[in-house]
Amino acid sequence: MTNTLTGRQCSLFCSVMILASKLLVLPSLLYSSNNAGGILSVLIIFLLEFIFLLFLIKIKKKNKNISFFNFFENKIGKTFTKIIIFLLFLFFLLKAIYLLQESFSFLKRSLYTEATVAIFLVCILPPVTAFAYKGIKAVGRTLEIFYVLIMALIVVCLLVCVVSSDNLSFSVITSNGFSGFLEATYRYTFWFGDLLFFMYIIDKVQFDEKTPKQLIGYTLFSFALVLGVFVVYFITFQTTSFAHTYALLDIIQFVSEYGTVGKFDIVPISAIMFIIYFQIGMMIYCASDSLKQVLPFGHKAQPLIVINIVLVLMAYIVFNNANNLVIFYSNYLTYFSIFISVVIPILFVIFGLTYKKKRGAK
Amino acid sequence: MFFSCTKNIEVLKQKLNNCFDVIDKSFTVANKGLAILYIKSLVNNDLLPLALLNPIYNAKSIENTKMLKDDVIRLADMTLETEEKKVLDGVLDGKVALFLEGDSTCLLVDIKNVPARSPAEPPTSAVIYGPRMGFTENVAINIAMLRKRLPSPSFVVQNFMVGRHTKTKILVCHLDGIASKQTVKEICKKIESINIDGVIDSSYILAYFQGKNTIFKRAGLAEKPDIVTAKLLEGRVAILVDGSPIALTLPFMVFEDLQNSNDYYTNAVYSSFLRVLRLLGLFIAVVLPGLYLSLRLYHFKVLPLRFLITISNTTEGLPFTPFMEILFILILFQILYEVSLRLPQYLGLATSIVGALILGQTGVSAGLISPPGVIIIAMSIIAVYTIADQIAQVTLLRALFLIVGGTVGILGIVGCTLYFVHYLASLNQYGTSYLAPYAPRKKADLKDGLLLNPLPKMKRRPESIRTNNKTRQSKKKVKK
Amino acid sequence: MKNKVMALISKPIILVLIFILIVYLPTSISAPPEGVERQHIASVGVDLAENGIELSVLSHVSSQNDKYKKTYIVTSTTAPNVALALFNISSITGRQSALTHTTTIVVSQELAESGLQKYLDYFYRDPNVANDTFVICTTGKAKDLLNFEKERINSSGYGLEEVLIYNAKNTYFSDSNLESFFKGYFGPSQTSMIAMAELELNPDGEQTLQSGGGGGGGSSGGSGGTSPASTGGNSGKPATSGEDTGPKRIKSLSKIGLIKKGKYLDTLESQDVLGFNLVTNGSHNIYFTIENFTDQHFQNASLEFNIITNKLAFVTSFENNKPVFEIDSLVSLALESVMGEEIYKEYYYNDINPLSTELKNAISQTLRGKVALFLQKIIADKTDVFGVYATLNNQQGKKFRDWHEGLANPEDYLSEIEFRMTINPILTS
Repeated sequence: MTNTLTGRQCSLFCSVMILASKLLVLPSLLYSSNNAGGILSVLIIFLLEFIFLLFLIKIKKKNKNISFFNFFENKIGKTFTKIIIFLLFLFFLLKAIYLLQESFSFLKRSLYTEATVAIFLVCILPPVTAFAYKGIKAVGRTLEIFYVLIMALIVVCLLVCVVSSDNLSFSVITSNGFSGFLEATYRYTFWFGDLLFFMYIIDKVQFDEKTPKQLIGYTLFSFALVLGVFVVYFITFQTTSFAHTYALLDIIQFVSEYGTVGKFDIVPISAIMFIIYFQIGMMIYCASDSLKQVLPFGHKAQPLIVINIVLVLMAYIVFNNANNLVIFYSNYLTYFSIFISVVIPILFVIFGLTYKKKRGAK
Repeated sequence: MFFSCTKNIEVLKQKLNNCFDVIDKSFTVANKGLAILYIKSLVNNDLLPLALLNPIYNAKSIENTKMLKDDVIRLADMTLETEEKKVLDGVLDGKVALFLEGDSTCLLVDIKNVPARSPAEPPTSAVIYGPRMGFTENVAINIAMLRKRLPSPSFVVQNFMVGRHTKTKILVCHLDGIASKQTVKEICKKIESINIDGVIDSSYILAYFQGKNTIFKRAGLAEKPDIVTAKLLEGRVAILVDGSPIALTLPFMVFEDLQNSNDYYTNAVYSSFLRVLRLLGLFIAVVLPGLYLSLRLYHFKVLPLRFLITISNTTEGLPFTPFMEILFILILFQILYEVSLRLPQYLGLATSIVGALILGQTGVSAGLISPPGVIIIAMSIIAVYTIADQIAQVTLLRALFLIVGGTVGILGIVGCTLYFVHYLASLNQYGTSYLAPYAPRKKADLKDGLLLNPLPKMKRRPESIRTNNKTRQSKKKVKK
Repeated sequence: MKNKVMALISKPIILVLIFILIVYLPTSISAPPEGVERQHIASVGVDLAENGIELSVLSHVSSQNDKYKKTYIVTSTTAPNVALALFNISSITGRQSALTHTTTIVVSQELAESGLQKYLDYFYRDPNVANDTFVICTTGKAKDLLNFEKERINSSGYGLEEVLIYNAKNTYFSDSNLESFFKGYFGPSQTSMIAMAELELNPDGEQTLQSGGGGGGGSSGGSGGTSPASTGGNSGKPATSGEDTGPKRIKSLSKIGLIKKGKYLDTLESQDVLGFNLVTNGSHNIYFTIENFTDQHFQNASLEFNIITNKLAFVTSFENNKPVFEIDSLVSLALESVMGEEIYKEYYYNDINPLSTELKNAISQTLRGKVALFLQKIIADKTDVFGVYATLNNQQGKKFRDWHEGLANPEDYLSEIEFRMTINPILTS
């Protein structure tokens, strides 16, 4: 099976990856940092990610089947490319660790009473490793099957909250001003940069006339959903948002018609469960692809084995220290995150757009 | 062959182990010695004297076997053979071998009459409205039924013989100009590569199309000519196997099993509703027992209080743990299912009463099993029949999901679901994805997807299948 | 053998399955159902005790029956805090206390007066307790209310949370749950509201207990949820009038307790609640009476109106460097009953719209009076349950915050604000 994605499958990936880690802890972190003004941080980063997406489309149109590695090698040589790819490997690995940890905490709180790290890893790692091992095409097709279900579940959550809310006052968001949003944006950059995966699959996407529209449409849809969750969350909780670490779940639990009596929370739990498989699967795919470029592996399973070993070890070290992980990521990884999420995309855009000219000059 | 009739008969009888139903007869007509050899159970014993022996006895002169073929016997299906192996195969195929003294050529006359049942409505593909005739075990009758429905010169049938001992006829059918030549070629090549001692049923051939995959079937199974005709018109290839009433259709998409021939003979909206129900049935059949078990064991917090109380009350005091209880009920139901399939029909009712009423009701009232457990398993077992073509797969998956749900909970069920869907998504056959038309999504094919559009709207053949001609309906008028 | 092992390794998913079968299957097969290990607590009651608190839990006990009957028991213990009390209860019952399905937390007024946040913190911190778990305050002992609840639920299956959901929607139009309590507590005015359940001795205790048989007892009915009368108590002793012992029942659930900085401060009586409802969005079913009214349609009549919908707009401004809070209300009314010397038949058929000026004025005056009563109370108590601070902050922003900071007593900002109210009544059929 040729490992390619259709334009629609790629769009679905963009849409699902945007949801990564933004529907659970991030709203609470941003609110505690900058009250409801945190929404401006989200808007700014979404705008940057959207601009990056537009450039990606342009680069893809210009250079049909050139891989991300080729763009970099062509401009800065093999050694620097390998360094950058290694940094990207670290980024995706750290993201995968964070997503695993966050999912574990979330499911432990919402679904399992006595979940162990081992049970969680046994459930998550085999499917996501299979995703990364078998290649992007089958995962893309799998996502096509589940995408509507995932999005329908999230939309239902949002609609239920909006419809059942007596007083949705949007003025809450602007009442405390937006000062300090830049600091919040800077601190929580690690929670963004999810469209970076596109660089890894740019040569594997079959572009047709509809693809740019699909990419933009699905991405904007996800942006709207995330913003919707942020807005509803901020309006619902305001002063108590520090106590509500899992936005999508908490906003549903607060709907009294469904919360305690009806146990409607299975809806957001299901949505999150499906999303994490695809997100972690893609992170592991990108990390494994990076590792293959950096180290000479004989078999494509070998980098995956390495990544799995690292994830299992990290799971036992950090899973029960959720707060420490958040503190580490928001305090010590900010420069690294900015380099990966901002500088590398800029470099990629420059290299991608100038790639053809240089070849022509030869 | 020898010039002597007696010698030929002697050799062939020996090759056929002098079996009791191998009949030979020597006689003289117009001063020429003749001998016939045939297997009594395979030939038409009424036609033998009328169409074969009478003309020979009435012949004024017989020079050679060619004259017998051209001037004496007035039958269409006759061949002259000189090789002993071919003569032997012919006799085994139900033909009468005719030898003439002084001539080494054998005349094989086809007046065979193989026992076969009449076409009837197959039990697994019953329809309320629509054609009822089903295939039989006789490939000649089956191909006749297809020919009747497709009186077109484009209907191509390729003949293969597979099985060293059974010499089973395999017919590969397609519509020329519609089915992809590449697909037909690959399928024929696959059949030619089969080297087996015998083919008893079409499932033998299916096994060669499975590849590494051992759980999910890779070909459509059809028991009725109308279904095969519809699939041929969509650009698929059909394989008919002599001795089997089941035709195979390729390439296959798993979604075909959610479709039913009855869907196309009734209202499209109603059919769409039924398809959604079948999908729900699939979910209930595969996931429900595992989900119920995981909720009872690990995720009671997501159950509404009233539901939790009802379950707690009905399961209070049971001697079994939840896992053992569900396993026990499932095994009990599976045994009953197996028994009901094998038992004679008149005992079936008695089994249902013993199974459903006595075992189920008494089990509950004795406090051995709980009513919710019985309901969940019964629902799951019944729901399988909404997609009868996937019974084996669903039964296996149900057991797997039960184990996964009972051991690691809902997350395991979700992971398992994603793993299997991902596995199915990676399957491709002759350019067709196993999960088409949903993955990859082919918008045009969704007209015959979960929701069915009325026939006039389906103007093109499925995009998911490689075909040479995509147009099914055009605006041009048909020439009469 | 080697080939078989290699074949297994080449299919890692089979290895995973084998791992699950070996490691988890034995424990799963022998795992008991959740009911054996846990008691599902439906309601928690917290009372003050000598050395801490007395915690009572109303929990479900599984009992084999095919009548869908719920069986509840009340268990009590004393401990210095909620966590220890729940631990004690687990050790008494032999089952782990599960708060996953808790719908109501009942606290006594005595406890509320000493500071609620100390005791509710445990529940807010516990992820198993839902955010929207009802919190109600009772004038008597929380344990008595749980006992009343136990008797009612065991006899009729009718739970307190159903009454509270009804009341929250139809009686006081305000949330009274964990989230709303802490939202108010952490809010700028540190004020929350809590539903009040007034308890009284049940004079029918003996009779009802006898008719119910055993420890069950039967419900003697009750309407709406405002004053449902039912049997109560787990002792089965008849109540003696004038004594504070014996079975109790809920007298009223239509009042609201005002909580400031976590401590119970005052009660909004039924008339104050009416005023509060009038300035709360989404409120409906507000009944009020206009006595001795006379105009061209009515002669000395007593008119009972029901507010079907109440559209509110809050407009804020600054006049003379003083915030002005204007409430503009468009009320749709239904005339529910007319008690007059004479009943005119045309009232049944003819619409009396447009309302006469006299009637409009009377309605406006009555409603403004009720709102004024409510505002007086919250101004006196310095309890901004109505969200004046939030509205002014949202609309006026920094200007309001500066004004607030400049006050001599910022906590008493309500008394410095000028409230105005306009009521536009329309009659619907």
